[in-house]
Amino acid sequence: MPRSNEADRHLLLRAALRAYPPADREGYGDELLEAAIELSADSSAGREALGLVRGGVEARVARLRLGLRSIALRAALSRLALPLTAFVVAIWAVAGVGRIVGTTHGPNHSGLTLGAVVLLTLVVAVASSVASQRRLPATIGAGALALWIVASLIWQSARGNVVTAAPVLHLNIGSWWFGPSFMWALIPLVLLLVPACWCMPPAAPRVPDLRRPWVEYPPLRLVTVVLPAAVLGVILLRAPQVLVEPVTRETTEIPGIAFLMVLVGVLWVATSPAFDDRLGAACALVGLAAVPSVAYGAARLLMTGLTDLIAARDLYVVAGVVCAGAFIVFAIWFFVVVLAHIGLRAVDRRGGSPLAVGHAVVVGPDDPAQI
Amino acid sequence: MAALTESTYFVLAALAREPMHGYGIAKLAGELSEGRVKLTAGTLYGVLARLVERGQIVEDRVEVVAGRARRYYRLTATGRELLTDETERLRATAKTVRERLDAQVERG
Repeated sequence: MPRSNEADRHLLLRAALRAYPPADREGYGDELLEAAIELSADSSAGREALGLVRGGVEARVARLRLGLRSIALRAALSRLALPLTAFVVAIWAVAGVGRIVGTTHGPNHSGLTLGAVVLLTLVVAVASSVASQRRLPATIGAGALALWIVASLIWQSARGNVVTAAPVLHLNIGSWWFGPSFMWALIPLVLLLVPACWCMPPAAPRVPDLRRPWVEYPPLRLVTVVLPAAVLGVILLRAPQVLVEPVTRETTEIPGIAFLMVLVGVLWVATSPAFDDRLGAACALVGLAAVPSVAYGAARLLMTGLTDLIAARDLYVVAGVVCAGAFIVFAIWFFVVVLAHIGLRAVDRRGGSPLAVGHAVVVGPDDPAQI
Repeated sequence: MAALTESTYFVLAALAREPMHGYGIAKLAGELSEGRVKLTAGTLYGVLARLVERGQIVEDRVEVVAGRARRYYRLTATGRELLTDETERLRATAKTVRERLDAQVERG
């Protein structure tokens, strides 16, 4: 073989070798190149070069997969869950403050958008569930995501009797945050919290000297006791906030204040270094707090949906009600069965008492006209 | 366990008798398969890497020939067992098919 051809062949194969990751080239690149040169003498340099490129790509993919597997996804999720939870809760708090002071009252107020946060949270929840091989929450998350989008597209359009797509990604902060539409936004949060609970390291058996937040922290007892009492008072006094009627400026925002108390409690628990298991405690608190509000939102959705169904007999309304109904089943089952069970168990196994908080306070007045 | 690919099978088969280096494995695999398996260096080293990772072959030694390092590989007990099982599976499959073919001929 002429020397120039041989040099070209070597050059080609050496170039093809660069398809391999640097670590592989350093490890056995010379040996690989020698084998390719020898084999190319029997076949063709082009075929060997293609083989090297293909092998290099496969080696890179294998390294990438190995690298992904080695990432501590569960630990990463545990670290990610808390700031994300705090972020979403903080947005709630902004809405709550705005509602109380009246600055975000009204449907035309344009402020922060929640939709992107909700979708991001959903995606993170589903991805983390898949990554940690939790098929159940991943499936539920995917189902909820689909239902949420479909229901947002159809239901809200139907509510306005307008056959156009509602803006999925743009949810203004307003008083209707405390209505059924807002309650839908709780689902992604829970989808994040549930895998976060499951991703916590295995609990050790109960030990006598384990710290017990309920016993040791008076503010926690205060929040837990005062809140249901406040809610009960509002209900017994038939305050307008718990009735299905338009909001008036004269309304005393007791539910909103109580809701803020929950938020403060959650944030305090979640950020206090005094707790052994901040995430678990915060999950349980949020989860429990959300149960009544979701039930309320479900009832409102069903009632208004049925009313519209009867009145309009419109295909979009029917589809919207069906989607909303399916979503409600998802939501209630998810909140009550899954989150409460897992969250409380996680807390209890770590020595905390179940943080039972009432949460009718979340369901503030809801003006259907603003939805 | 899933059936081995033809390339993997003949790489293992090439190592059945003695440790060999990459080029030798590729050549012998081609001969054993009567030319059906034509391994490029890229394919060969991918197969070798997977077999090493699964503990079915190991590096035996490194020899320097004309200034070039040559790494030799040999079968482990696991690799030999895998090759034996696969060979038996192929033999059984071939026997079944042979019987069906013969039966067809007799009926015909």
